[in-house]
Amino acid sequence: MTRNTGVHVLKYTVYVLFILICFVLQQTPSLFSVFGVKPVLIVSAAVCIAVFEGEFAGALLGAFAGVLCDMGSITIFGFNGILMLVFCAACGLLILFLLRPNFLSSLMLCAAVLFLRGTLEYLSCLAIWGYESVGMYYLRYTLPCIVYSVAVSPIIFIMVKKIHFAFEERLKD
Amino acid sequence: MAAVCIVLLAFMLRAAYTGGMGTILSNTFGFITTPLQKISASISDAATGFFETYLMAGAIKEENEELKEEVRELKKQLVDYDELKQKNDQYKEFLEIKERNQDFEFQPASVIGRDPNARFYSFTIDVGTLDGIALYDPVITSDGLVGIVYETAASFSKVRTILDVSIDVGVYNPRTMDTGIVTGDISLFEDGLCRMTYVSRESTMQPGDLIVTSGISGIFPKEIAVGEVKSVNPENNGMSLYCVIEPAVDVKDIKDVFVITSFSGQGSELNSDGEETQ
Repeated sequence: MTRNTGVHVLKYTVYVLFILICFVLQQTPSLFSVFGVKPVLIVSAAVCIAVFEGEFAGALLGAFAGVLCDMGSITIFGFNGILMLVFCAACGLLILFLLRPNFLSSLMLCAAVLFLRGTLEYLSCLAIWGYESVGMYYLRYTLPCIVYSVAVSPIIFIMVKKIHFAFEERLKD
Repeated sequence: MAAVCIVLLAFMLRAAYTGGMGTILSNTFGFITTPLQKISASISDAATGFFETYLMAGAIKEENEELKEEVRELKKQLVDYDELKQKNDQYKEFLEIKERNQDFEFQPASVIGRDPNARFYSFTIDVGTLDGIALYDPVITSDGLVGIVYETAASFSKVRTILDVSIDVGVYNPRTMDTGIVTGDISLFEDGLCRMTYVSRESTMQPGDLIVTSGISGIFPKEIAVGEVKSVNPENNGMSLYCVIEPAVDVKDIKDVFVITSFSGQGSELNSDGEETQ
């Protein structure tokens, strides 16, 4: 194993650990809870990784983050895994062809992915069954959760950026 | 010179005569010297302490290590005590439920996760199929019904609460013998309430009545407290009534639960005569 391969392995191990830490934090009862709403941290983490690492690594780590989402959420297992794989690959490709890997792009992509994922989850798990006053649930819980998650995504962006550049430096040396 | 000597001698004689009473001179000097002596003594103490620190560094270090070790041990004991206290409380509840329901087999569990996307306060518990948990096992506390296991893995399970709109629990009122179905309601769940539907229009149910499970579905055991009636209202269609129920358990904040892995009548439905059918 060459030195560069070793650094790459270490980098992706750190990313995996980072996603796991985000998962544990977002799952912890009462932690970060504001009026009963908690942020989804791993979605932002996966999107930010896709922004810096490109579509392939982004898609794989996105799928991993999605599977973790499925472990905690109400959706059928694999729902978030597939969504996150597609969304993170798309984010990686958008950065490759259209956008720059900067703060604004990341914030925009995080917001878009969080909104799409949250809305799709709401549509497939609640709205589809036509429960009474179901729209109220979207306004009271789904949208605030998306907004809260977007609000904390800059912190995730800074952390992922730090990890990315720390390893870039090591690869250049 | 001689004058000074004479004055001093006079002071000496006076001191001898008064037997130890301070003279004006000694008193005056005392006012000046005492504060200075205090300062000097404190500096001296500090200096002694300062040098002692170095002189006795070895002994102090050793003592410090011993104290640290003692603190570590005490902290460990405190953690053990908290754990034991929690376990003790849990087993007390366990015993209480077991005494009330001899046929129940339980698995105690702790809430380990509440996902941001978890709807209607659903949560994850730390027991799974390896602990004997199966799909649709009822989840309770000593206060009453919490919900139902809707997904199991080897080491964890997910629980849906009775505030969930997808859960229907067959219930009855032991006072009036009115039956109904308790289910979640999106407009009520924010306040931690749920709804009992299909209540007969002739029902005499009142706020404050206790609602318990009927056990009719074979999913939930019979006579587990579900909650208390808060209000009785007519349905929009006017054909029946519905009650707003305040659950017996505050599902938003529970930390420990019991999963009923087996109970008499599990998996069998009761027919209209109250007899079990598989």
